[in-house]
Amino acid sequence: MLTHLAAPVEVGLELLPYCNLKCFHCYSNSGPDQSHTGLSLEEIEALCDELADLQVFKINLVGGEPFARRDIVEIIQLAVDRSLAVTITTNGALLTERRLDTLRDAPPALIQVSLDGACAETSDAIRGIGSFDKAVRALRLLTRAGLRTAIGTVACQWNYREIPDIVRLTLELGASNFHLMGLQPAGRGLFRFEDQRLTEEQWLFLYDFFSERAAALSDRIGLHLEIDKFVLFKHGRFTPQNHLDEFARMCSTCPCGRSKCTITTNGDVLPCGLMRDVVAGNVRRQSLREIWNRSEVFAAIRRRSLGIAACSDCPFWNDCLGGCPAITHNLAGNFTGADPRCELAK
Amino acid sequence: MRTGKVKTFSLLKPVLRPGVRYRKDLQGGVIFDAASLGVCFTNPTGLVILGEINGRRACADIVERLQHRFVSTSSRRTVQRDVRRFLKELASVGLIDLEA
Repeated sequence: MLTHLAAPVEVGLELLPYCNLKCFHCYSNSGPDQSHTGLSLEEIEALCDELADLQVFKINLVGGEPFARRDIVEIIQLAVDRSLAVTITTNGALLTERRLDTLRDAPPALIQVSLDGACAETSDAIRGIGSFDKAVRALRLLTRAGLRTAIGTVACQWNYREIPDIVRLTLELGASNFHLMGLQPAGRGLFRFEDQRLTEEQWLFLYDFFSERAAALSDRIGLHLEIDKFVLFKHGRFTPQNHLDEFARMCSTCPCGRSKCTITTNGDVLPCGLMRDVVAGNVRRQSLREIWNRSEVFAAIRRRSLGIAACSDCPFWNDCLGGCPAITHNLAGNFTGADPRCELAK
Repeated sequence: MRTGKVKTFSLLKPVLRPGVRYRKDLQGGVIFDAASLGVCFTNPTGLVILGEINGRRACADIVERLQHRFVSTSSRRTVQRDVRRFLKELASVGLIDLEA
């Protein structure tokens, strides 16, 4: 069975721990009290060389807040020069017209701006006062500059009812994609996971909203919906895809350590940014190729996809492969078992 | 009618859309589309067909070259069927254009 690819398809690169905002759900514990230190421009250049050599297709620049780095434009240029598709996840607050002008020579493939409500009252309660207006302004500037944008939303108790309105806002602001994620039990999100995660009924409300409108919306925006699949399994909203071949299964299940990885600000390589303390190696001491091919951490993550006792005979195995290793690790203390959110696991 | 369609398809020249790249990987290949930022996978047969696409070769030329290359392992009909099916699938998901 195909447990992983020869090299990552996508690498997430955390540029600095500092962020001008301090969102309650931040998986990387970023905030204004964190440092600006990350891999140097020279180290990032060497890394981009290796990513190109490995034929990695995409690099996702994250933070903290990527635009808090003074050399962000140079970093983007380094990646673009090596034919890497660059995506950036930002809160948008530090984007100015002058900054955007500097992006014209090496435009990122996509800039995702985080917005956790359809109005300032809701989004600011989650992300900080003034953050909504700044994010909307950034989206307008980006769209006007002809850059491709997405709105990224973390669904929680405070905002799930507004998600249909955030989709309307996505259309109104001319963003090309909408990305919905669930609250993740990582970083500060771990401490609010139980009281802020969506209930089954709330996930079904969102699923039904999107399934009714998917055809109409998909003509206008790309939808990337990370709806809790265990809820869909349980409530019959999902037909098992038993016919999936190995390649389709690789596409549709968690890519963590199998086709993607994350590199932190100190060079640690993680299977996923949500697993902060599971380190496969460090690019300051080893090549990414060596880590990808030889790390016992990656080997263990990949073994999950060969079978989990608690999931034996599950009709959804091919669509799930035991769920999210990171959430399993963060909630259960290890990633060898089935995702604790799944009620079908024995 | 059927013959006409087959003939037309044979004359078309497949070309990768801008931003579409692929690489050889374990048990096949990985295709990346920079426009959608999407990834899909293909088996070794698809990877071989992808390697024949250069924007100048017509579908019929690709079929002929692969029939020659795999003469000892696959029937001519199988090669023709696999190439047609794969190229049509790539076109339907927007990874290639079939140019006249």
